[in-house]
Amino acid sequence: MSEPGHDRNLAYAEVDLGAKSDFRMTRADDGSIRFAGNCPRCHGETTMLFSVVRGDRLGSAQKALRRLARRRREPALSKPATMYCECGAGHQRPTTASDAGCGAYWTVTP
Amino acid sequence: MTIERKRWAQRAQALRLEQLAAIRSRAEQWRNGLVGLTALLGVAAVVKGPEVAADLSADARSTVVNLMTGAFAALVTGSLLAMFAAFGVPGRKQLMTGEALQVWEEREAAKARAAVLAGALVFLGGLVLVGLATRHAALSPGKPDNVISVKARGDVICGSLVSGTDRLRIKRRTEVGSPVVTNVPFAQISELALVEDCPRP
Repeated sequence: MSEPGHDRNLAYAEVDLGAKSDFRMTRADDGSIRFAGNCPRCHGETTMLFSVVRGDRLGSAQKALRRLARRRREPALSKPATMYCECGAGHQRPTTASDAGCGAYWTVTP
Repeated sequence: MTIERKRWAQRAQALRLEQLAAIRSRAEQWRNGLVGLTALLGVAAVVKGPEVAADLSADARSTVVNLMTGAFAALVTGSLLAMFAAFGVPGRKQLMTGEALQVWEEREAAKARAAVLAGALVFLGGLVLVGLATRHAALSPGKPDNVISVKARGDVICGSLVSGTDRLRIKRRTEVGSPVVTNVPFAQISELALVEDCPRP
């Protein structure tokens, strides 16, 4: 897959790029939110899915009952969310890194 | 902003893949709690139940036994639901692709969440029934003492024996109001038996 402008040889570095607004946000039927765009550092295509996880809501019976009583509502993304590059290129990534990009991270807001 | 934010983001992404394991482990704890409580209440009912039931009137005993039966059905159902949530039940065969696994895990996690919640609610219902049974047992009048059934001139008179010097004085329950004392001369008695309780008037 060729991506014009994607600097695949850029060395891995965990650089904070601050807030970014040029990412497309889409919401899936299950309420999860996907941000897609190009990494501001290496310019590779990257996406991140913020899915709805309900497991922790069962922490207490009170919360569970409140959840039952309340109409099902999708959670909103009210604060900026941190996203990191997952472009998939090598970027001389250290073996200890658990991400799959150039290491850069930034925040996105809906 | 620090690198810590990236680490949290990475943890959140990793968690997406562990939904089912998380809910299963939570369900396992619920199962342990519910099974333990059911066993505890079961032992208490087996040890103390017959003793308490023996002191109750037939009507009260039947109500308490019905309530307790319902309670244990609910407690066991709650425990079983939590077990299903913790371990799942064998499903249909499917091709194990990444996509199929994702769909299966999400579906299983949803089922497990629902089963834990239903189990907890049913269990709560069981506890309420145990409470009602205990309350009923505590507030019901005890079994009357010296209950006899006497056949005199074709009539059957059932009640508590009050005295029996020259005639039998029997205290009988009435449909409404307080019990009445009936006098039965010995000469009229054709049959006399000790009974556990009288039928409802």
